[in-house]
Amino acid sequence: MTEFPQHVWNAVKRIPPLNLDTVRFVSNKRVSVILPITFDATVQYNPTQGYGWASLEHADVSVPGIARVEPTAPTFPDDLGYIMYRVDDITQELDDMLCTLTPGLGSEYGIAIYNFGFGNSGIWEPMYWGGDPDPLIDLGPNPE
Amino acid sequence: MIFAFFTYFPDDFTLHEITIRTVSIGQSVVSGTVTMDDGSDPSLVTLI
Repeated sequence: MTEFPQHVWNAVKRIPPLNLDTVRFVSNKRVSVILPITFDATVQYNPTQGYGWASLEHADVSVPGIARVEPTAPTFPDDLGYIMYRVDDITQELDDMLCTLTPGLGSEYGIAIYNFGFGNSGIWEPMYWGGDPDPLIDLGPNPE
Repeated sequence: MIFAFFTYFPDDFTLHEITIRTVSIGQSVVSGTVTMDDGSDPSLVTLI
């Protein structure tokens, strides 16, 4: 299991927690999304397609194919930007997640996944922190 | 599955920003040995 610096955990904790009442059970389909799947990062979630971004802060998705996350100031709360995605009703075993993105010069960023199994309401957990333009995240049963 | 991309101004006050283009989520590939009824060599069979 990768260990992340405390500043990464501090940032992850600031991503709003999910309201599980609105996230779960919105679909009556057994499977909404069949893997593998690749989608445009600017596609907004809707229940019919079952995937896409669901919320964002200090981010711009107005240009198709170019989702930008840009914190606007070095001071709280404008120093954090995020785009949250959801992919519904996956019943297949997860393998990995490959992202195509461009970090700004010298920029680092993180990828976090919501762990529904933690406590009563779940928790955001970091899966990656760095500056790789094509990060491959292991989502297997025993991720590194 | 819920996930997020995030970045922020850490203590070094370097401007951090990212552009995300595509997201791909994979599925485990299961492979195995298959015996063909006609005795031919199936070589490699991959089930996805």
